[in-house]
Parts: sequence; C-alpha cells; structure tokens
Amino acid sequence: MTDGALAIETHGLTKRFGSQLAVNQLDIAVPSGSVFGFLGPNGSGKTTTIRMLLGLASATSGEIRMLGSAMPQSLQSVLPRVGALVEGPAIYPFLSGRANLARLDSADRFASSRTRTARVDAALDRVGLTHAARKKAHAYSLGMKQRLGIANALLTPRDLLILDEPTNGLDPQGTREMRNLIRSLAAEGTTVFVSSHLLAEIEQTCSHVAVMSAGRLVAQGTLDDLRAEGVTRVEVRTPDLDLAREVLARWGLQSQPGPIDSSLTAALTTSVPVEQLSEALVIAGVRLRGFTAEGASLEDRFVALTGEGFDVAE
Amino acid sequence: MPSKWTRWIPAALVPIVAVAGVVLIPIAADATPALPEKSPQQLLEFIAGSADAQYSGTVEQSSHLGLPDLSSLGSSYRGGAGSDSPVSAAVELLTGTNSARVFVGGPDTARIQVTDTLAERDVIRNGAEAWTYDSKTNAVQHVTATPGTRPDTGATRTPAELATQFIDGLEPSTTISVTETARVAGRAVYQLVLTPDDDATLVGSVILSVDSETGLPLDVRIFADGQSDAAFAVGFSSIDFSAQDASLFNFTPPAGATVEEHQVDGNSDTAPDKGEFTKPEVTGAGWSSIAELPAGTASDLGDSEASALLDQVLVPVTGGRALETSLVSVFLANDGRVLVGAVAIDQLQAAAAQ
Amino acid sequence: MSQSDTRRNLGLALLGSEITIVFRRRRNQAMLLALAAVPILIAVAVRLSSNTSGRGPAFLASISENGLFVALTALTVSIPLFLPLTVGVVAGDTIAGEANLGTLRYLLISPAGRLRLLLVKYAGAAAFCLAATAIVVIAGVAIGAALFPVRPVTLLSGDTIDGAEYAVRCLLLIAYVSMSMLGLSAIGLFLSTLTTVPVGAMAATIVLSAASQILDVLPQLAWLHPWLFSHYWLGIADLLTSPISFDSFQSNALLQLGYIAVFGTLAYGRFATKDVLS
Ligand SMILES: Nc1ncnc2c1ncn2[C@@H]1O[C@H](COP(=O)(O)OP(=O)(O)O)[C@@H](O)[C@H]1O
Ligand SMILES: [Mg+2]
Repeated sequence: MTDGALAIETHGLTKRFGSQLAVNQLDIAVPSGSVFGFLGPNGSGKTTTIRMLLGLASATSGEIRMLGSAMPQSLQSVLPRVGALVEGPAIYPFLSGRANLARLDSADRFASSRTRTARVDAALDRVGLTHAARKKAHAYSLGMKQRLGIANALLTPRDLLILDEPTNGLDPQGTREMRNLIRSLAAEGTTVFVSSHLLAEIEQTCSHVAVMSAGRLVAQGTLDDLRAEGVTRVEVRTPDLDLAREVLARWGLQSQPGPIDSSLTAALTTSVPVEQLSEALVIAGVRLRGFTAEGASLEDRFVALTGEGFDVAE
Repeated sequence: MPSKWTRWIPAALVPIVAVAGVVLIPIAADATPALPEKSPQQLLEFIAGSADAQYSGTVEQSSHLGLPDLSSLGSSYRGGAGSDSPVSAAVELLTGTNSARVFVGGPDTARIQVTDTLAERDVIRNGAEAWTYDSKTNAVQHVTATPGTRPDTGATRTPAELATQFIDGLEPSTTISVTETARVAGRAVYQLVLTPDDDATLVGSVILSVDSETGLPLDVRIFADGQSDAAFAVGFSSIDFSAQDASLFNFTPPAGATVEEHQVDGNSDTAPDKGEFTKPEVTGAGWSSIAELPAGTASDLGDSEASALLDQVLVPVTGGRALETSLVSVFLANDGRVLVGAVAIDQLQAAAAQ
Repeated sequence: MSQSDTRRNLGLALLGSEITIVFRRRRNQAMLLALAAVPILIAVAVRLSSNTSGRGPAFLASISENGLFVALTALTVSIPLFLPLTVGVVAGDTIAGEANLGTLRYLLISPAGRLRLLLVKYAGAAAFCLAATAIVVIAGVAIGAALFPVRPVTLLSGDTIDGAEYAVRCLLLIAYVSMSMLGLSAIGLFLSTLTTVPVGAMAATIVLSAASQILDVLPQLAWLHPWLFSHYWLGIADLLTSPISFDSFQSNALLQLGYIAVFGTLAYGRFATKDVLS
C-alpha cells in the first residue's frame, strides 16, 4: 500500500430517505493501512454510509472513491477486493455453514472454483467455526452467525474490510477474538473500516476515528487527535496566581482556585491550543511549578459530540 | 454514476419494438403485389387447373352474421358432450371463429382435422373410401362408395370446394370482375369479385382470392349488402404447397374404437349421418332462391337445448317466427314449415304464403 | 496484497449454486413431490373405479385402455392450477426471497452483478419449470406403465404410434409446457424485484396466472386473448395429432418470448436502480 493513499474517500456524500437526511454532506478520508473506527449512536447513518460505499444504495449526491477508483462506476472491479459485513450477517437457514460460504463465494467471478473448498475451510477456521461447518445454519447461535458473516468477508485476501458493528451478538470471548482478528488483519496490511456505537471497541483497536451524529460527521482524525481535542480543563501550579489569572483571562478563560493552595484551574470552553496557552504563561513570566492539561475521557468526548442518552437519532 | 434512468431504456424499448413488429410487419406484407393481369375468364380457368394441387394448411372460418351472442347460452355446445346435435353444430359454425387443418394430396385424397380443446374430429377421404374419427367418442365411421362417386365428407369444405360450388352456381345474373391483388396466408393472390345483379338477395358480393402461382382459391368471403366486414369467411391462414405423404390418407381405426360401416350408392349423395333429413324444395332462382322444408322439420330439431336456443334467436312475425341475419333469413311458419334463403324475411313470408 | 487470480471466470458457478439451492430447498422438493402425486392419484383413482367406466372426460377413459395417457391427463389437470402455483412460488421467491433473508446484499457485494444475478435467478426458475413439468410426465408414464397395459398409443387424430414416437411426443410435451411457464416466471421475477416480502410476490404471480386464465374464457375480451400469457397453455393437443402440428408451439414460443422480454427488462430496470436496504 502506498503511504498517504486513501482506501475510502467521500465528498459531500448525502442520502435522503424521503424528507429525512440519513447521511448529510459526509466527507471522510480513510487512509490505507489504517484501522478506521466509524463511531456513532444508533440511527446516526453508519450503515447507510456503508451501503452507499458498497453500491447497495445509490447516493442522493456526493462522490465516493474506494481503493483509488470512483464508485459506483468501478463496483465490479473493486468489490472483489473488499470484504464486508453489513447490518449483521445473513444466512440461508437451510444450508450448512460451509454451503452458505460456498454459495456467496460462487457469486464472485474472480474467485476460482478450484480453490473454493480450501478457502471456505480456511475462512471457517479463522473465525473458529470449523466444528460447526456441517451444521445447518438455522441452528447457529447469534454469535456463530456473526462469525459466519465475518468468515464470508475473509473468503479471499482483501485490501479493504468494511465491518458494520462486527461485535454485535458476540460474547466477551468472541469480542476479544474479533479485536485480535482486526489487529492481525491490519498487521497483514488490510485496511479495516469498522463501525460501532461502542466507543470502547473503537478505542482499543483503531488508529483513526470518525464520529457521526444524526447523519453528520462531527469529528475525524487519529485517535490521538481526538484525545487532544478532548482537553477540557487546565491546571496551573504557580506562586504567581494573579499574573496567571490575568493571562488566562486574556484567552477568555474563567479560572477558579485549584485543588491545592497555589494552583488555578480553568475550563476550556472554546478550543484553545494547550501548547500555546503554556507558552503564553511562560512569556508573561509566570513561574510554573506545573501545567496539566486534563482530558475528559474519550467517552465524555463522544457523549459531548453525539449527545447524551440512548435516544436514537431521528 | 451514469443516470439511473438509462437502466429503464430496455424496458421502454421492448414494447416499442414489439408493437412495431406486430403492427408494421403485416403492413409491410399487405402491400398489393404486382401480378400479370388476368381476365375473369382466365382466372376461372386458372382455378379449374388447380384441382391436382397438393398442399396443407390451416383454414379459418369466421362468421359475423349479426346473431346475438349465444356463447353464454351455448356453453354446453362448445366442446361439451352435446356438440353432436345439428343445432349446436350450426351454432358453432355460425358464431365466432373455427379452424381446421387441411391436407390435400390430390383431387381425391384429403384430410381435414377440426381441433377442439384436447379433442379432434378427422375426416379422411382417400379415393372411394372415407373415414371420420371423433376422438371424444372414439367413434369411427367408414364410408365406402361404389366407384365413380364422391363421398360427401360433411359440412366443412376446403376453399377449393367452396369456390367450385360458387362457380357452378354462377349465372347470367352475376357480374364477375377482377379487382386488385392482395395477400392471403402470406401469398400473393388475385381477387375475383362476384356481384349479384339481383336486388332481392341479401348477398352483397363474394370475393374469391386465388393463389397467383397455383390457381388454388385460398379464401372466400361473402359480404352482406352494405357491410364492409365479411359476413362469412373461410380461408387459409397458412398454407404450404409441398407434396403430401400418402400415409396421411391411409386411416386404420385405432384399437378399441367403435366402427360403423356405411355403403353409399353411386346414384345417391346422401350423407352418412344425415340420412333422415328430407330433401328441401327449392323455389326461385339464383341468389334469391328459397329452400323450403316441409312441415314437421322444426319440431324435429326440438330437443330441449335446441328449442331454448331457438327461442332466444327467433322473433315472432306474422305467420310464424323468424331469424334474420345479415346474410340469411330463416322463417318458421306456424304450420311447421321452415323456409331458408339469402333474402329478407318478407320474401320468405311471401314464399310461404304461396 | 495481491489478487491471486485476477481473471474473471464465466461465473457459471453461481448458476450451478442457484440450481442446487432451488432443488435442495425442502419447500421446492415438496412441491415437486406434490406434482408427482397428481398422476399417481389420477391413475389409482381410475384403477379403483375402472369397472364403472363410460363417465367422465374422454381422457380418463383412455387411461385405463392405455397407461401412457396418464401423463397427458395429469398434465392437463396440472396446467391450470398446480403448475402455475408452484412456478409462482419459485419465481416470486427469486429476488424477494434473497432480500428477505438479507443474503441479497451479500450476493451483490460479492459481487454477483445485478444483471448477472437477475439472469441466474431467472435461469433457476426456468430450471424449476422444466423439472416440474418433467416430473408430472415421468411420474405419469411410470405409474401408467405399472397399473395399466401399455399399448401403442392412439393420437387425437385416430392414428396409432409406437413407443419410440410416444417418447418423442412426451419430450415435446415437456418442452411445450415448461416453455408455457416461462412468461409467468418472468412476471414473477419482476414482481419479486418490487418487494422484500416473498409471499407477496408469490401470491401476486399466482393471482395473475388465475386472472389471465379467467380473462381467456370471457368472450367479450376475444381481442385480448391472443395476448394473454396463458392463452396457449392447453395447446398441447397440437402435439398429439398426426401429423404433428407446431402452430401452437410457434405462437406460444413467440408469446412467451414477448413476456420474457417485457417483464425481463422491467425487472432489470427495477432491480438495477433499486436500493438494497434489507
Ligand atoms: N430504508 C430506510 N427507509 C427510511 N429511512 C431509513 C432507512 N434505512 C435507514 N433509515 C434511516 O436512516 C437513518 C440512519 O440509519 P442507519 O444508517 O441504519 O443508522 P446506524 O447504522 O448508524 O444505526 C436512521 O434514522 C434510519 O431511520
Ligand atoms: Mg447500523
């Protein structure tokens, strides 16, 4: 993979269902080789975006490029290089797990029939379903179906994996396996685009993240960027409390007495670059004993961006 | 993305192409073909010379006699078990469309197949022998004629037979002309028009289409006075002039069939299954001749189904009841006589009064 | 990351998979068995009541005289209802069934290609039409041979043919009747692209087949009759006459082709532009 190339790129991507904008002017850039977390509460437009990426739904407006080609014009040549799990797994209940995979693999014209059995078995093995391969899929548990869906995405070597809520229905053990799987795929060089409404999942596996809320993109960048943006409070320890208060006020910050005597804290209401704030303090001659930028947890940040509670965005 | 509506183009084109095919192809083929001119006399000779032709084809017969729609009443007459009675057979012939396959292997070998829903009636003529077969009843009739006679093979006739019949009946009272060429069953034809000079008849004209290569009459249409659609038409919808396999005319009754034998005497032309009917008495001449069946004929027709049917189509008139179609009138006098002719009812009434 | 095999293959694997699925589904197997039961029931019923002969349609009488007619009678009985019923179920299920399972999205991102998937689905339905017709004929011939004497067959025109020629006619019957169902299958395919509820598409297809047959017997609509897809369904008599007539075969083929073209392109227009949201 060329450095700096984008595996997925959208511009002004919009999808309208009747009067409702499910996805609104979305611009995302997924670097090649990244593990990209696509975060947002239920109903924020993640699955709809993924459907448009995969050519299942047409965009109302906007552009998509995937693996360097414009979509959906190049769907047929790009999709064989993309593995995907969309809105949960789907199975033929009357077929065995193995027959399910063989069926979907046969739809891919680039997949050789000669190697089908071997590839199906390898994919089943990779998700730990070998023991249940002959069982009819209607007898699978939710987690087993989810694994089968992942196995389908891994039938051939892929350049890009798009996984929509891959840990839904998995037990904690399965969730951990999924994380390991994503890491190992990323290590092989596959770009992984993974959506979730759970921050914890993204936080543990992703290098990049985009946050959706009610169809809009509200944040995007590396996980570190997002953490940095999440700084909400600074604590200044200094004997020169008045001077420090004055400098902070110049940046528009209200300061309060800190937890110890010779300290101040200030909540960051607007986004103030922390490094410039510390520089300003030093230039003003404030003798610093300590300067701490306190980040809110990413979770607080997520809630701040997307709104509190479990309300499904409408 | 190429506009989505382009995907609908095939769906829009298909009906256009189909309609164009259905409408334009017949238009293109219907052009009046250019043929060397023939006088009526030459055309009649041409027809006479076609008696040896071998061919096979599908003949369609249709009637637009202005009869009330009998299909609701006559449902049992269509293909049902009752369709052997003469009245229902007549209903079948006089309403709607019928078709038959015809195979002709020369002047005295022919086979006619009238198909029905999963049933068929066959009439096979082979020299002095004739067979009929009805698949519904699995019944065979075998008619052998003494040499030199021609067994009557029933009401269904080939266009050639009908044409001959019309030509034989031609009289000085008819104007014969040749009109523009046309196409029948995909073949170029001459059209011979017979127009009665007689004003009394309901027949407006008869058009005979004659194949331009073989002289075989392919189509006969009888027009009623002042009508633009043929009141009665019988003609080929497809025809193929290839030699016929002789085995087609050699009929062997199938195992299990009931076979009825008939002998036809050379001097009598009584049809095998109509032996009971009395010969009609004909008055008048030419196009306006009237056939009169003596008293009692009407009640002979009267099984209950038939009389229900007759009640539906007959209207009371002075002296009896009558049926007037665009081509033929029937008058059932109160005394039981039946008069039939291609004339208006008042003429039948007048004839009955004599 | 490399493509191990960048050559496109013909994609016959999907067709093979589709046909396997059509015939491995319990539901479809049950329908085929039910169709096979039609000639068996007819033959057994005639066998049990064979002494009280003389009544009933002509074909029922012919059965006891010749076992080979069982197939024909069963076909005639199946054509108006059972056959379109089963064909409607399979054709209505084509796209809507996959949409309902959710597997449609995985086939499309595999990628199957929307046109190719539609063609493969139609081919699967057509294969079912063939199998459904064939099973009626084959079961009929078999049970007829088992219960009744097998004699040379009398055709509708009164001529007699031998076993070999009868076999040819049986094959022609299968070809004719399965072809008759192709137009209905195309309609089912189109209806199936309109919904994600397979039962809806199936029911609509079956209702249309009944409607077409009803319209076909209304004399007021005579002008419409030659355009109804069921118009030639019972034209099998043409194959049972001597010499054999291909008139119905030809007209029927043309008509079915027309329906396939119209509803096939409609199905394409709909399916190629549709958002797959299930
Ligand atoms: N088929 C549809 N018709 C109408 N609205 C839809 C449809 N699918 C999704 N939506 C709406 O689009 C929004 C985004 O849905 P979705 O992309 O599924 O969210 P997420 O995957 O982030 O939970 C929701 O408000 C949902 O109600
Ligand atoms: Mg979702």
